[in-house]
Order: sequence, then structure tokens, then C-alpha cells
Amino acid sequence: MRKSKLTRKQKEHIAAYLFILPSFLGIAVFYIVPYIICFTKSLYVGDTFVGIENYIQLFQNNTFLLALKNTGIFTVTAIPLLMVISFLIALFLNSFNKISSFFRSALLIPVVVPIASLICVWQLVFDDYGAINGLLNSLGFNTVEFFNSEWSMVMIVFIYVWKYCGFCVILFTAGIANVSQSLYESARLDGAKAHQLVTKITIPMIAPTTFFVFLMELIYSFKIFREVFALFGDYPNTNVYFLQNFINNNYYNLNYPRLSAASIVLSLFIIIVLFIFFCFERKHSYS
Amino acid sequence: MFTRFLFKPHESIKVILAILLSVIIITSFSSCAIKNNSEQNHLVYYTLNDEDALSWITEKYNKYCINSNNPSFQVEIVKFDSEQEMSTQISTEIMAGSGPDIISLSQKLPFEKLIESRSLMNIYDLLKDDNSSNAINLDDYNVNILNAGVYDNGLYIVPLFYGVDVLVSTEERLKNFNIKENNGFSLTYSNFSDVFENYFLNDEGYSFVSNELSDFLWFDYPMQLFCRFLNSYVDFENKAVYFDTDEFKDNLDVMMQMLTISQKNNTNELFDGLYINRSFPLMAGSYSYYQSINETPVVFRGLTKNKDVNSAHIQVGYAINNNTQLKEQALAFIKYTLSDEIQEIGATASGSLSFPVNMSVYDNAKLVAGSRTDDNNKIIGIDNDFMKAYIDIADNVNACTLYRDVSHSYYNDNVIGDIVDDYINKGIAKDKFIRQLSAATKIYLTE
Repeated sequence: MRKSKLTRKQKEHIAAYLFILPSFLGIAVFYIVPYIICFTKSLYVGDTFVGIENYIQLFQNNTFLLALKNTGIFTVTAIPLLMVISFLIALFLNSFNKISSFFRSALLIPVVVPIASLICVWQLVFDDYGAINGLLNSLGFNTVEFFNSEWSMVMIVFIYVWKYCGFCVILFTAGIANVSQSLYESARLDGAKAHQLVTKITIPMIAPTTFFVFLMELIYSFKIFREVFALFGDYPNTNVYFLQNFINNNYYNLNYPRLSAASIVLSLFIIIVLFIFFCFERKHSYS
Repeated sequence: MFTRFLFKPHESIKVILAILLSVIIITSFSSCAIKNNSEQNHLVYYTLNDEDALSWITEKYNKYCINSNNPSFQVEIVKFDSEQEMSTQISTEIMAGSGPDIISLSQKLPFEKLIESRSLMNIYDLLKDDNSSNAINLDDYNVNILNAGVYDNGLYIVPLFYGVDVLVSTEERLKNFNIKENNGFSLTYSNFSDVFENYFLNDEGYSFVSNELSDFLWFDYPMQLFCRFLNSYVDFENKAVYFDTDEFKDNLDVMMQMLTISQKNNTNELFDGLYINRSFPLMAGSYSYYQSINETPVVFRGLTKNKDVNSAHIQVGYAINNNTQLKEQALAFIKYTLSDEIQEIGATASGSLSFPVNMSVYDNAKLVAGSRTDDNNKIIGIDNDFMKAYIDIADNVNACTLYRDVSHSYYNDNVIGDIVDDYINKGIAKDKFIRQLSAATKIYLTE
């Protein structure tokens, strides 16, 4: 019998590569290759190579800058707000010995509620003739156009925080529960106060959880487009016109050079944010 | 390994599975690539159930190709049952670098945007290389109509037939509201409320324009007028919006009143339905009909923003996809559709086409109208105030818009459709409507 010349380790490597080949092909065909095609398209107008002209035009385009600004404002406002609120709620819940399963389920309900029904409820509450405005009018105040003024951004941030808060609370609760009680006991013996326990022990110790929550929320923040679309359609007011609107509309307008350039910029935006947070996490994580 | 597999198959099964999976994935992707690379050798045209006027021209062209022993130049007509499905397929295919070669203006696509992004072919480039004996000389065609498809010194839309924006009524109907304006009167959004003051005070069961939706003409005519009014305050080429002007705000009330009255269940209409029987011969027939019922027809220049504007709209037109590789075939198709033969058939057809873009055929249509006879074989003639005014309006068209069915165009339906619906049906405040309209339009124009 002929003996194979490959060592056991080499065989294992080959088997491993073969196993990841289907996944790699999928990623290559559905992500890497389209990304390269997208980048290539962003350098062309029709059949003409224009270099970075599309990018220059993109950054001279007021609508794109508006979308970029709104996306930036939303990301910078909504994610920290959500993380702080859910962390505080998690801390509060952690003070109880046991959280009932009903309470855990209730926290997750907003995540699983279909967007259409969610939007119907928000419209009933915040529409010009909705419950809040009815209350304001009865108190003698003017109607506030929640969905068609500067309030629109506040509404979207509010909806985002409300929808994903429960999910983050559960993640934070799990993270906090894993922090060793002996650390708290030692700190208390050393005379640490409550806020010092949180800032010096809890927050550093749950850094990996915080990082994971941030990642998830960043992903969800880009999914907020569904709510914006359901509430305002393809062309929302200028306060809630996001990069996703810009990309989506340019798809329907068949402006692929601009669509490709905007997509590359959006992906770079996400990569930069993630890179910064990765660096931050590496520097500050106790784990 | 093979012998090991034969005797101990369980040890190699994972590796075999991985290889099989890889082979399946590679095969499926390569088969996709093979399908995409297949050579297409004739022009393709997508149509919604064969409904648009370009379809019969295309079918005629295919017969012409067969008769002239040139079957490879035929156009493949792909029929769709759903407009949504057709639009999605066109969008996706154009994005992938293919798509139908001929794109009709009746398809709900943002043509202004397609032109801007160079998704459509510059027809000038196609025509300039043609040195054949039957090369098209664009000087033979109505420049004011051609200009509707011109952007940045390129021609991206081929207009074939167009209609003039006019309103037709009778002196007897107008008399009910003490309106004494004559044939050829220029009706603008600004003088509209003054001229029709009595009508707006008491409509007496009259719609401004027919609001019946028949099986064949599914236009909501009052809505068409309202959408044309909105669009006249948008400069699509220079990306400017004029919704916040006092003029627009004032005129909006009047147009809204017109729309509200017209959408009631009125049995009468002050003006006939738009776009019906507008070719010269058919208009002469209309004149004869009104004479036969002892009424005197009157024609007004259609509602426009300025008094000096004689507006028209393209009834049948198309564009060539910039992705097409079949430039020779595309040129042959353009030549055929702009030929005297097709232009004459359209101009004298008994259908709803109005005017050919070819100037000599257009002039000939006047001669045909002049010899039109009534039911008693008596020549009706065009030497009357009504026909003279109509010919004068048509001769002096100086502006043309791309869409006949404005309310179903991409901008009016997809961009501002919901906002307009909310204003008309839900009664949102005027200021809010203008704010939303401006914001959506500005974004659409500049994004």
C-alpha cells in the first residue's frame, strides 16, 4: 500500500481549508467580489474611467452631506444614549436577586414586534392628531409636528432606544452577573463607595460585553432605516434623511456610480468607527 | 486515500462532503456566469401587456425587417403582466450592465435621472457616424419637441409623437358661467381664478374637466392638471424648486379648488377630457360634431405658468440603453421610427396620437385635415376660428415636457405621490404640504 507523503498536520490543514472553502466561496462571491465590483463602478461613469471624480462630486453634493450629517448625528447620539440607559437599567435590575422570566421576555418584546405594527402605534401616539398632541392641545399648547420638524430626529432616536433598550439590558445584565462578587467585597472592605464600585469595577470588568453591545447597536443603528422608511417613505424630511435613504434612492434612480461611491464611503465610515472602538477596547479591557 | 475511503469510509466522509459542497457552489456560480455572458444578437424591448403605442410600431418594424430580408434586426418584445415587475427587472438589469435596449417613455422610470447618470445613450453620437443615404437630418424635426430630450448638449430621448396642451369646450357651456374668452385664449395659473370666478363661486354640477375613468383612458384628468401645475414650479434641469413663492401659494388654492370640484360626482364637465382627439383631422371631426349638435367649440391654450408658453407633451417616445452593444440595430430602429412612413401612419391614425415630430409630415397633416369630410361627405374645412386657433397653438409650441401621463411619472408618483395624496385627501395644512413638497423635491433633484 502506497503511503501518503503528507504529514498529519498538513492533512489536517488541507481538511480545514476544504471545510472553510464553501463558506469562503460564499463570502467571496456575495461580499468580497461585489465590494470590489462596487469600488470599480465608483471609479467609472458609464464606460468612462473618471478616477475619484465620483467621490469628489459626492462630497460636493449637498444631499449627500446632509445624509452624512444626519447619520453621524444619529450614530453619535443614539448609540451612547442607548448604552447609558440600558446600562443603568441593568445595574438597577442587578440589585434584585432574581429577575422573573416574564420581565426578561417583556424586555425583548420591542425587538420582535413587526415594524409595521410598531409604526402604527407610534403614529397613533405622535401624529399631528395623535394622543400626545391631543394632550398638548387640551393643555393649551400648539400642535407639535413630531414627524415633520426638528423633532423627527428625536423621534427616531426615541424609537431606536425604546426598541433596542431591552435587548441591551439583557446583555448588560448577563455581563454584570459574571463579575466576581469577591471584587466588590474587597473594594467595599477598602472603603469604596457605590459609584466607585461601578466606575472602577463594573465598567472595566464588563468591557467585552460593552464592546459587543456597541457592535450590535452599531449594526442595529443602520437597520433603523426600516423604521424611517416605514414612517416617512423614500423621501423623508431633511432632518431624518440618512445615508441609507441616499443609497436606496440612488438605486431606484439608477445612478450606480454615485450609489457605489456612497456605499464605499458608508462602509469606510463603519470600518473607521469599528477600528477606533477596537483600539479603545484593547487598551482598556481588563480581560 | 481512495483505498482508505473504500475500507473506512467514515474517516473520509467529512473531506468528501467538503469537496462535494465546493464543487456544487463553483458549478452553480460558473453556470450563472455562462448564462450572463451569452451573446444577445437582437434588440430587446420590454412592454406592459403590449399596451403602449411603441409596441405596434415595434411589431410593424419587425415585419419590415422580415420583408427586407434583415431578420436579425428585429426587436424582441418581452411582455410583462405587472408594471412593478417590469420596472424592477429593468432597474436590476441596467445595474448589472445589461437591460432592454429600447426603453419607452411610458415606463415608470426617472428619466431625468437616467439622463444625468448617462444610463441612456446620446442619440447625437449614434447619428453623427451615419453617412448612409437615408441618414437622419434632425433639422427636419421639430426642435422644440426634440429639446425635451436634450440634456447637456446631448439628445437622450427620441420623441415620435406629441400632443399640445389645450382645453376644449363650447361657447354654450362657457356661457353658463359668463366666460366670454375666445379661441386661442392663454389660460395661466395666475389668470385662472379671475376668468373662472363665476365657476368657482357656483360650479352647478360641472367638473372643470372630465373626471370619468373609462376602460381605455384611465387618466384622472383633473389630477393630471394638478400634477402639471406642481411640476411647472420645478426646474428639473437646473435643480431648482419654486414652491415657496407667493405665486405658487396663491395658485395652489385655485388649483386645489378646481380639483375638489372636479372630483365630485358631477355629470357635466366644462372642458372635454384631455388628450382626446387632438390630431388635426380628428379635431376637424370634433368641430363638425359640435356643429351638428348646434354648439360652437372653443379651444384655449392649456393651463400654463406663463402666458407666453405654448406647452406640449411627448405622447410616444423612447430612449436607447447606454449598455446596448447593438448600435447598428439601434440606429436602424431609430431611422425607421422617425421615417415618413411611421410618422404619417401615426399622424393620420384614428387613435389618440396627435402630432408627428417630423415637420413635413406635420404640415401634411394640415392638408389631410383640410380635406376631412363629415358624415354627409361634405368637406368640413379648417377655415374656421376654432381650427385656425388650434393650428396656431400647435404651430407655436415652444415648450415640451417628457410625460403624457404626469400623475404616474416617477417624480409625481414615487417622490411626491404620498405627500400630494395627504394634502388632497387628509387635508394636511398648506404650509406643511409646501414644506414637505419642497424638501422631497430638493432631495430628489440633488441626490
